[in-house]
Amino acid sequence: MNYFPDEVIEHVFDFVTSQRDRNAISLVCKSWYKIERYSRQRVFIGNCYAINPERLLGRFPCLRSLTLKGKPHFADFNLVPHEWGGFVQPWIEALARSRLGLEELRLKRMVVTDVSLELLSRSFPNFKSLVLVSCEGFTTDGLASIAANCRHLRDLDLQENEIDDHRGQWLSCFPDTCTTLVTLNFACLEGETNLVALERLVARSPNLKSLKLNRAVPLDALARLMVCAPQIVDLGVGSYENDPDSESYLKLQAAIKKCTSLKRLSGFLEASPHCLSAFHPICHNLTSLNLSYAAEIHGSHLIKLIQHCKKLQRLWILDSIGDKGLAVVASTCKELQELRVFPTDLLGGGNTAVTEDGLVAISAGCPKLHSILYFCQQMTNAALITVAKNCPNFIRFRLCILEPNKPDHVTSQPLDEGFGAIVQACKNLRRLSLSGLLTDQVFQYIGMYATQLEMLSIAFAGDTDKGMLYVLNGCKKMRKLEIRDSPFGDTALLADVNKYQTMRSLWMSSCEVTLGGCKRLAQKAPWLNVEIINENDNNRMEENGHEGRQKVDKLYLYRTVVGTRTDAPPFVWIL
Amino acid sequence: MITELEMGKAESELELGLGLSLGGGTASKIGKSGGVGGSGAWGERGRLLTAKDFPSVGSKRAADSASHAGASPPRSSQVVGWPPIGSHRMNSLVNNQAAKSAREEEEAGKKKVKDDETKDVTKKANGKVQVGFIKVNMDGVAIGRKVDLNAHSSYENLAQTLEDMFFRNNPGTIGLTGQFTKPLRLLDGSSEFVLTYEDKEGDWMLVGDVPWRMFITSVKRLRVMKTSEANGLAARHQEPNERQRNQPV
Repeated sequence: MNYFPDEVIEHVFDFVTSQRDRNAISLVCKSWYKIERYSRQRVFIGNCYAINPERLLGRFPCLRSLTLKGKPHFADFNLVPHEWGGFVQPWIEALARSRLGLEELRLKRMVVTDVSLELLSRSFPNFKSLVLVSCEGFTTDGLASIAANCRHLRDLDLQENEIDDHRGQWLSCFPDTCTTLVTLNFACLEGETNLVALERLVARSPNLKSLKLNRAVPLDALARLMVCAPQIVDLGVGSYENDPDSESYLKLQAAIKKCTSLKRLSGFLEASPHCLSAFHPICHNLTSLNLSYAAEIHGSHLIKLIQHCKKLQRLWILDSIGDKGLAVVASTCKELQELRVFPTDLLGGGNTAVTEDGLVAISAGCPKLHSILYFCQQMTNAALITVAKNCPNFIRFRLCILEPNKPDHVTSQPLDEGFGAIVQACKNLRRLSLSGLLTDQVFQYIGMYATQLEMLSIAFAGDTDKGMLYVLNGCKKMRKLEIRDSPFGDTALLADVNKYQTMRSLWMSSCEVTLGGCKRLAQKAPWLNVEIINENDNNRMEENGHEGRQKVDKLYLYRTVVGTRTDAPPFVWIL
Repeated sequence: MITELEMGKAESELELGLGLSLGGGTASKIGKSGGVGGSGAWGERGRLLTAKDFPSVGSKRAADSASHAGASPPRSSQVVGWPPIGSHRMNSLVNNQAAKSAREEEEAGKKKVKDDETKDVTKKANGKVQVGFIKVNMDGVAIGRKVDLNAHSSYENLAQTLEDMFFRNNPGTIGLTGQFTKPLRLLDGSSEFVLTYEDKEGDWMLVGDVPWRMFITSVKRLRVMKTSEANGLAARHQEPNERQRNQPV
C-alpha cells in the first residue's frame, strides 16, 4: 500500500499543518496513523476536559506545542463561577514528568498559578513561547520565574488576564544573556513597571517585533523604547499623555518616523489625543488598529488618524466613533476585513453612538469585510437585509443590540427577517451571535440556511423548543452552542442525544431545562459530561421527587473520552 | 464575581458612617438628617436589600417572577453578564466612565464634599480617577473577587454587596462558609469578620473611619478579615495575598 518509505511520507505530512487536515490524514490507514502521530508537533485541545494529559502524550509523544482552552465562552461575562475549573497544573505536571520537549504553550480561560508557571519554567529547557489569554490565578511572581528560567524565551504574550501585580521586579528577572525576545506583551498588568529594566531588555532584544506596554509606561519612556526598537512591527502604547511641545514628544515623533515596519498599533490606555499626529507618518503601513481601550480618543483626532490608514485590514474601535466616523472608515479603509465596535455607554441611555446606518455604510464601503462584532442601541430588518446583500462573504457575524428583546425600531417587528437574510446570503458563515427581539422563525432560517455554522450564541430569544430543535437538526457543523435566557427546555435538549457527539459543547443558562431532563440525558449519553452549576441555595438540587419541575440554572455539557472530571468544586454537580 | 449593580452614577443620598465604631474609631456621620443614618438602623437596613429588590438582576425568568419588579424590562446594565463584554474590558470602561464623570463634576464647579476631598479625587495625573473595580479577598477563601466601587454609594451598600458575594447564595463559598446562614454585619463589629482596606500608603485600616468619598479615593483593595486577627490593625501585618500564593519566586 505504501510506495514510499515512511520518511518520505512524513516529509509530505510536514506540509500539512492544519489540525483538521492532520486528523483526517490519521484516519486513512494504520500506517499513516502511526507516522502522523509521531510527527505531530502541534496539538490544539478546545476543551481541556475532553481528554487528559496521559492520553494526549500517549498518542503524540513528540509534542512541541500545546494549546488548551478551559472555561466555556460565557465565563468571559461572569456567568461561570471562578472556581469552576480549567486548571493547568495537572497538564504541566504530566508534561514535565514525560520529559517532553515542550516549546510552546497557549492557554485560554484557564486557571494558572505561580506554581504552574515556575514548574513550566524549570521543566522544559527549550521552552520558547507562552501565550495566556483570559487566564487568572497568577501573579507577577510567576512571570518572574518565566523570565528568569526560560533561557530561549521568544514570546511572552499576556492578553486580558487577571494578574495580581505585586509591583515586583519581574522585568529585571530576565538575565542579561536573554536576547531572544520576539514578543513581549504585558498591557494587562495594572501595576507599576520598572522602566529601566524594560528599556534595557528592549535594547538587548534585536528580534523584538511585538511590544505591548501597560498603563504605567509613560510617553517619554515610549520614546526611548522606540529609539531602541525601530524594527518593531506590533506596538501597544501604554500611557500616551504629554505636552505636544515637550522634548519627549519631539523625540517620539522622530523615533516613530524610523519605524517603517510598524504594521499593528494598539493601546493608548490613557491618551492626549492631540499627540496622535506623531503616528500619522506611519499610518499608511498599518494593517491593524485597536483603539478599543482608548476611551479618550474620539472626534476629529480619531477621524484624522483613520483617514491616514488606507491599508487597514483590522479595526477595533469604540462606538464613540459614531455613524459619521464609520462612514469615514467605509470610504477610507477599502481593505478592511474585520471590524469590532465596542460600546462605551452601558447604561443604555440616550447616547445613540452607532446605529444601523453605520453598519450599512461599512458593508457598502468595505467589500472585503468578513468578520464583524457590532454593539449598538438599535437595528432594523431593512438594514440587515441591505448588509446581507452588500456583504455575502461574512464568516463571523456578531451583532449585540444592547437592550435585550429590542425589536426593529422602525417597524417594531422581531428581527427574524434581518438575521434570516444574513444566514441566507452568507454561505460561509461560521459564527453567529444574535440579539434583539427574535422568535422561533429566526431559528428556522438558521437551521435551513446556515449550513457551515459552527458557533451560535443566543440570548433572550425564541418562543418554544422548536427554535432550538431547528438549530440542532439543521446545523450539521455546529460545534459550540451557547444559550442564555431563552425558553428552550427538555424536549429540545433530549430530542437527539447523539447530536452532542458531533459538538464540542452546549451551554444553557436560565432556560427551561429541568433536573429531570438533564438526568435523563446523562443516562442516555455516558460519553457526555453533563454539569449542573448550581448557584442557588445550598443543596437545593437534590433527589426530592420534583426533578421534572426543578429548573436548572446553568447547564454545561461536553463530549469527553475520559469521563467525569475529578476537580469539580462542590457547586458543580456532574450527573 | 463582579457585581453589576447600577454602573455609573454614584449619587449618594445616604452617605453614612453609622456609628462604625470598630475598635473605638470615630463615628463620622455625613448623612441627610432624618434619613436612614441612624446607627441602630444598619441591622434593619442590611435586611432590606435582598435579591428581590433587584428583580431584573439575573435571568429573564427571575424578572418575570419577581413580586415587586415593576413592569419595566431589564435594562442592559442590570442583567447579569450583559452586555456580553469581557470583564477586563468592562473594568477599563468603568474606570473611564468614572474618570469622565469626575472630570465633568470638576468642570461644572460642583463641590459635593469638602475641598480637600475634591483635591483627593482630582489629584491624580490629569485628574484621572482610578476608582472602579477593586479586589476583595476574604480569609479562608482561596480566590478573590472584585467589586465595583462606583456602583456603591455608601459603606452599608458596599458591605451588603460583599456579604452577598461571600456569604449568601454564592457558589464560591458554598461548602467553604456555607455554615453561615445569618447576615454578617461586616461593619458593626458584631460578627466574626471585619472589613478592612489597604490605602494608598500601603497601610491597612478598618473600613468606616473616614467619609465615604475619601475612602473611595484612597482605597486600593479590601480584605474581609477574621475579627480575631484585626487587633492592632495600625501595626504592620501580613500581606493577605500571601495566603493565595504558593511560593513566590
